[in-house]
Amino acid sequence: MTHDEVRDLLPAYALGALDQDEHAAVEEHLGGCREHDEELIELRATVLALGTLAEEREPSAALAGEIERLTGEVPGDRSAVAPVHMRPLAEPGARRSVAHRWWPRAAAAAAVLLVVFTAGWLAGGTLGAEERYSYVVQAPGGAVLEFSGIAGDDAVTVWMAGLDRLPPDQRYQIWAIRDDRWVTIGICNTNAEGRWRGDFAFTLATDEEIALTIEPTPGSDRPTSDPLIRTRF
Amino acid sequence: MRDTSSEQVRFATRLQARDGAALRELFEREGRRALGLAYRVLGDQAAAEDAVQEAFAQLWERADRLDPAGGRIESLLMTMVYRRAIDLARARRNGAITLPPPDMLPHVDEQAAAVLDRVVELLSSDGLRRKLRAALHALPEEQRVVVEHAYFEGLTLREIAERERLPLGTVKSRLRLAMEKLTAAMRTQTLS
Ligand SMILES: [Zn+2]
Repeated sequence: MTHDEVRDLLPAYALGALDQDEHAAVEEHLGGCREHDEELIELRATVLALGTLAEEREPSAALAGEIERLTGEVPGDRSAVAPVHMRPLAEPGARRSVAHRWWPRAAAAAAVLLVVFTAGWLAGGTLGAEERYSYVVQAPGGAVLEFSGIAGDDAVTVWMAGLDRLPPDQRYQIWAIRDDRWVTIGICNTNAEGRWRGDFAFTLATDEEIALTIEPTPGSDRPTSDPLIRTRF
Repeated sequence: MRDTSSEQVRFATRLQARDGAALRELFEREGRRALGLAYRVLGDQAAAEDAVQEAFAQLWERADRLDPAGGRIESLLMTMVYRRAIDLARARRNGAITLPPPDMLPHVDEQAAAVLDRVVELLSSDGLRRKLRAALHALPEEQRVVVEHAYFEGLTLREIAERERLPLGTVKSRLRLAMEKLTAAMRTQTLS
């Protein structure tokens, strides 16, 4: 590619709008010719500045929680209440050595191991007015689904691990099944490490039947696939 | 005059040392802007949040490789968010991810971020947005459309030509003219 041809293509190059072969040809020329540097720096500054034009948008609590999760610190969602999560299960680092994989679908429903702990149990039987619950559903294959919160509260914190990240056109959908009616608790996707954590505005009952399915983005009114997990607390 | 550069170096040094509070601060400060950008590209809250989350994860994973004296973290973050969003948008369109994973700010972008810094110092970021938005709206419609397709949708020149049913050469020259005008608007501000 000649010097003039490259100059012609620089704006498109700066925007990443060239096909791969042209992009490569421009880069090859740029490697040996410094004359475009100044122009390219200005163009890239303009491209960076274009990014400031988008309207700001409020992140969800789930995203904020996930960012905190990245730094390895569990967010203090209710500062007055001591955290009572099952640390050995909930610690993100603890499962790092477990390979993330789908648990076998057919076996899932039957093979689920359900663990229910309460704050009282963990605190040695002294339950306060704010009963804190934590339900952990552990499935073979390393997948863990945890629901925690304060009984009667209209929010539930969900923590998932060991579940493969879904492609953009799919989402995990968590349901409560009440008298054969499937009610959505929340919709999410795990990160590259197979984890997700966030709050959903939902009041969980004490004897809830819950299920987890994979649905097309952005979620479904009723399940369209067999549950990966279905169990009663 | 604000001494922004030493503040930036201090902040980058904290991130480099994997200070979790620094990452949370960055999210507090830039999260809304980052999500706004990803949403502008993807048009879907869940996918936009994915892009932002992945960019933060990537920044955190590679924090130890940050150069504290390099470009502004904010610019780096926005570049990473933007690239993740474009990757997702392209994957959605073509069923394949076409961009290689973003590396740390390459040489050119470090200097571009420094140029942008100077503009923001002279104008404030609100002033920059106003100025740039005005310059974008002052473009002839046909040129503005090409920039928006290329930047906010991540379309290539060829894809824009197909979508707009225009010869490739026409798209190329419209994009060049538009970018020259936008860049000139920024340059005027830097010098004034
Ligand atoms: Zn040249």
